[in-house]
Amino acid sequence: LTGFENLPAPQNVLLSSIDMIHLLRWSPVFVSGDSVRYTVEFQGEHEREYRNGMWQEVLECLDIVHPVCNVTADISSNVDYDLRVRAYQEERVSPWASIKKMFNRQDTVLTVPVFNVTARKEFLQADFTEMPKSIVFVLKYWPKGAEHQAVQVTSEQNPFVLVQIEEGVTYCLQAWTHVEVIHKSSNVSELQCVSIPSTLPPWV
Amino acid sequence: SVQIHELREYFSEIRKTIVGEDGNSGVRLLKEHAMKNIKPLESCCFLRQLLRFYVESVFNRYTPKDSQIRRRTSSLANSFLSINRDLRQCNAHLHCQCDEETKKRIEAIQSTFEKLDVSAATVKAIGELDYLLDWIETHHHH
Repeated sequence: LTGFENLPAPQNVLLSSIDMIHLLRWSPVFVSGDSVRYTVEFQGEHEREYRNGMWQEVLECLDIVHPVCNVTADISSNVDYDLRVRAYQEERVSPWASIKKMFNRQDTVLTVPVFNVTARKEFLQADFTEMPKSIVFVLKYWPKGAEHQAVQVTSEQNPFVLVQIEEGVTYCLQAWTHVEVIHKSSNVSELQCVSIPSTLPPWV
Repeated sequence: SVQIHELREYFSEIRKTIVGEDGNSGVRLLKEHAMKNIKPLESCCFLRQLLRFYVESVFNRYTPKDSQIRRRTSSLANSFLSINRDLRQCNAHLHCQCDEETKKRIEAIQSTFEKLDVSAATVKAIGELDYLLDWIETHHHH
């Protein structure tokens, strides 16, 4: 380490991205004395190619204490991004530590959506766990045993309310998520089948 | 079109400040007549040149002090780069080389831009992004 930079650089700098939430993590720097703080910077292709390799601050991660930074707001296009972090303690500062491989949001991992289905006489309701707004839910449903009659609906609203249903019929549902800006979908969920209550007694 | 939706969101976060900084409201870069009546085959090339103008002449010379504006300018610049890459593929298929008329339209925009000093010119160009996004939505939907 040279003179001013006599703090060790953060190690294990990793970018994890799940459902379009991009988090930078690193191992904390352990030194005696006051707490160590961190600052994170990003660089998109424009900064690399047209701004002489300029780095930009991640506004939410200036002088932070915890070794994690949500960079979602800055990973805001489909180019490759580089990210780096360094540590501070009083006057001491560490070298920068970068992610091993540049990150593109198209590599985000889209998880299979989790949803609960409620059956009423007049409608079917599918409640999904919340997702970032760039993610839409796609729901496919059909009368059990008649998948050829499947209806597919896409919605940013949550919950889904499906009204084109018939009393006494059992419906099967599957769902997945889709992110249009990266043209990518998740895997399909497990099948869920529910029966719509019927006003008529069973012997009719 | 979804990326346009994103661009509009980014620009909406900084529009008021940037348009407010434009001291040359009497001057317009993306003039209506320059953006109108572009032949369908030419629109791909026209757009590519315009995005390239923004990436290479506007965003890289724009140095805002405000961190939020810096953030969203970066989002816009990198998005333009990404869209232009997508257009390159479309360009490869359509083999659409700019004709003389399209070149003149782009040159007219660039010369108006160069007449202003850099700071004023970049503020104006970014402040006019609504015109560009409107044009893209109109011409790249059909």
